[in-house]
Amino acid sequence: MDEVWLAGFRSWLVDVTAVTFDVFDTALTRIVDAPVDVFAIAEATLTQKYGSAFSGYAVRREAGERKAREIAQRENRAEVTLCEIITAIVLDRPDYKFFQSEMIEAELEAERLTCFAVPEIVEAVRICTGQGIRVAFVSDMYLSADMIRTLLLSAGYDGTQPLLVSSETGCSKADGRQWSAVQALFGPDARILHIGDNEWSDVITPQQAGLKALVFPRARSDIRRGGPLTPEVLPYSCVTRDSVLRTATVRGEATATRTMSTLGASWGAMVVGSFMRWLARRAQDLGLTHLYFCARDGWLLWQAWKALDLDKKTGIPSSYLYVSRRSVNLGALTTGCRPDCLSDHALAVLGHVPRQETLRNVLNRGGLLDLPPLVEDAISVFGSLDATICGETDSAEVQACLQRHARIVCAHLRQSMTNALCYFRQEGLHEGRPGIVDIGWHASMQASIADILREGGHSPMLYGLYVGLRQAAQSNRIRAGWLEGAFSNDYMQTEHLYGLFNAVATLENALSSPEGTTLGYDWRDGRMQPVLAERCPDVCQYKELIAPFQQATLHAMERIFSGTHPLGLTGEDLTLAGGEAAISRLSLSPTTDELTVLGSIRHSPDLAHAHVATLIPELQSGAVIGSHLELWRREWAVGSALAALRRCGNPEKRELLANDIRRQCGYYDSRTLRQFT
Amino acid sequence: MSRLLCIMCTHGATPVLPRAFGSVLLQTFTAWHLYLVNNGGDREALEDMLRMYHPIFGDRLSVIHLDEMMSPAKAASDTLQSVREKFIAMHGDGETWDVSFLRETERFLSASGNDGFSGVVTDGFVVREVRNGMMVRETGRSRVRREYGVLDYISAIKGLSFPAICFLFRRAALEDANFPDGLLPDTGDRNFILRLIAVGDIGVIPEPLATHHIPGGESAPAESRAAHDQATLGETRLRNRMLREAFRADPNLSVVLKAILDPVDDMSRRMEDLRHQLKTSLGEIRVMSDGPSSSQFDGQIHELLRRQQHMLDLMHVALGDIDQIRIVATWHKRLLTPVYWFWRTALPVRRRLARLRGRG
Repeated sequence: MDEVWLAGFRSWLVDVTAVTFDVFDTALTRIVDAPVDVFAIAEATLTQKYGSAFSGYAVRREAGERKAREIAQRENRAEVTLCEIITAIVLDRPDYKFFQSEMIEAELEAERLTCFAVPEIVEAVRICTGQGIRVAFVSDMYLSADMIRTLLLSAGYDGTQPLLVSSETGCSKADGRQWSAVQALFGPDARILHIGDNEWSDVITPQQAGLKALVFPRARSDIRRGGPLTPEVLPYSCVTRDSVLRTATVRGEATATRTMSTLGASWGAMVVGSFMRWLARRAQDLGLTHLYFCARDGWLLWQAWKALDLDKKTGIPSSYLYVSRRSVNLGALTTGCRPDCLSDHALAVLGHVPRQETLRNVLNRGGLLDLPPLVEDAISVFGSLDATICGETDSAEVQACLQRHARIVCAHLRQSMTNALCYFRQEGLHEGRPGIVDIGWHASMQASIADILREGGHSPMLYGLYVGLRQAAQSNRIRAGWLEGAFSNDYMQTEHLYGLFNAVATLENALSSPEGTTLGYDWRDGRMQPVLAERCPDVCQYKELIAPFQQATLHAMERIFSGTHPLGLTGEDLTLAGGEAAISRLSLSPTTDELTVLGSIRHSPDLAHAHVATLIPELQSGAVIGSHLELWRREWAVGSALAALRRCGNPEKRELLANDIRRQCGYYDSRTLRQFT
Repeated sequence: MSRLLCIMCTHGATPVLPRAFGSVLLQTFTAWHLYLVNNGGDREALEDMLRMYHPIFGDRLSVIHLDEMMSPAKAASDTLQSVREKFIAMHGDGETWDVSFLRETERFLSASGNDGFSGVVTDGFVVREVRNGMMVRETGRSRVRREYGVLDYISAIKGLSFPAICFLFRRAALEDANFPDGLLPDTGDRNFILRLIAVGDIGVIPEPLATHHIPGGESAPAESRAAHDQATLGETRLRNRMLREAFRADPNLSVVLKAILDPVDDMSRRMEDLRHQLKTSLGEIRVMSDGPSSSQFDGQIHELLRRQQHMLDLMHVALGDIDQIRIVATWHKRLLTPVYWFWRTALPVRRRLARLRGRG
């Protein structure tokens, strides 16, 4: 109970003779994250009872309301009724004609299941009644007054207070016409205070009508206009709502740390938890003898494995494997090279410069700065190590330079390979059935590990278990061994995976460890030890954003798997479908807070970590928003699109930008596309 | 109990085989059984590769080792003798499916109302790739699109074919198609499609659910060339045998075929002449591109276009004739079916008569 708000409320009652309360997200709130999730519950009920004809009902229900409102607007009506909405659905789906009453009942039942009384408002009503102040409820809603009164009664209100509903009065708070009905209810001399969550309908319009207004944002729901709207999203929806309600403050302010913590307790728990369940099952099915969680993206996954005590429960021991593209992929390049000639693949990896970089960075990513003859030759071609190079011509020059010094480059790569081989043997990757656990996406590291082991005379049997795989992983199967992805695999069409691929950067950062990347391996203290780069330069980001997310994830997951989660969730509720729905909901329809906080994460997508940029550059104050956005270059396409649209002040430019975004995202679902306006 | 049979022919442990395994193992439809036919390849190398995959396949894999290489079609048809699954798919060892290929195609053929379909084909991708040992690099990709509905019978007669990876068909349709024993053609081959479409329609799912991978850039290894030669030999022998049977049943058919082939042959010669003339004219156009002889060009182009139109008209007429002949031949065959049946049934008696007459 928020005593600070109640104290403030009491102070407003001094000069008031009547108080009205908004109903939804004020007097009542739901256990689901977004109001439209009620439709997903209705879909689940209808599908269970009447079969797969109702699959996709939630989206149709949302569309039906939109259609009904368009009709009402043409007729100058401010509100629609539930019956009109159902009629609009049936127009599109005549096969639903004989199920109209069942559809209405399913929705009402879903509302009954999800609505509960907000404690502060229950107390506020009690205070008003105690002081003899009259109370009424006012709602802009398509449900009838009887239906809403039933919900209020079920939630614990006594039901005696008057109730004005826009579906019956024909007027709404939003258009300001409902307030005259409110004044008529209490008399012309009444001094009325209105309480509600919506800034426009519950604060601005009543003030314009001469009433007092006090905002109550604590129980405000999120609006998720895009992403999946299916029963699979419900576990995530409930967990998110629970987290949000527990952490909401009086003014609804959310610090970045609190937002990440909330995300961890909800999204993190769903995604990591469902992945853990899948991983444990697959590892046992495959008869794996050891699991290796790969640095650095596999760090949280390893912590989760340990926190859930899965070593014991599955009988499969685990360890953390210090690897990186630099330490492994470079060494594996030698397998295709001759001592005096670098292979085309090696030249492409070492010498390809797709974006602007300094010569120093290009040589550094291959660890080639320690080869003086090569460095001198490169300087003689480009002028200095700080010269900027980019594109096909410069790449060709770099590759020619490398080929001229093939012997020393090859010897250097060979040394890397040998060190890596010693490390892998030491860790036991060469025997049994080891499982490689990592986030994804091309399995190039697993392919390189296998190449190195084969070069060392072994016949590795590596099983890769990933969060997701992209289509390009197919070509690595030949070298890597078995590959499997929990949320996507390389035989799925990319166009169907836009939800996951919009979340790649978020996943990579949220699951990552704070240590520096593995540069190579070194013999120290009688063992092959990883050589790590300096600790992640963005310590502040890790402390403020990533660590709270990870801690909340682990904590929530432990509670779910031990059966002590406050919502009663257990491990059985963490399905891959639910995890996938959670990933897509966040990546395709983030709230303003989520967009701002996640968008501020600084991320380095390239091998050398030379370029660091925020996930959503459009949030930067100096960013220029034009009428075109190259979404394919963005780490989080939907995030950038939404941020750009919100910042674009010029209506004409905004429309052009929205069209451009919709054209680029043409294969997205219509619900997500509708956000881009 | 598997409802669907997948046959994969390989030659030992080919490098791309793991990719094909992934394509089958990660299908969302799981009631399948894979018959992996090792067509004359290194048995030990293949078994060594399979050690990793046995825990994943479980009991859904059967491996058949053939000591000597034969045409992939023969290898597949031998395998089909001993299996009973309802639906059949042929998955090349270098090909791939989308994860929902089997689910969508099986659902299509199992849908009530679709009992008359002998098979179903999907859209797909054609990917060109360079294979160098264990490295595979894609060099080009295109999409094959078909109209929703069914394959057009006339298109099948004209020579429509598709990669076998895009196709799922009924075992019952295969039996009804009455292929001569041991001479099953490649699944996407036009002869195969014609036989199957004669039994029932072939449906189309216009979703790209399969990918046909074409290796290029490196000369094909000797084993693939040998397999390709075997396949070509098998197809030729099948075509010869089918024609021989048809001519034996109806000697007049050879006359009909000559009547069709002569104009086609004539058309081919004229097309070749036209091509040669076009080439010559284009060469002249290049030479004269700066000159003032545009009117001469126009004249030549008009003449070429006129001749081309004439050839197209001839071709339309010929195709119309072929269609007529097909209809007549079909009725002819139907009317003579009892006679053929009696003639085949009386074979033992005919043999005895022949011996008695000194012709056995």
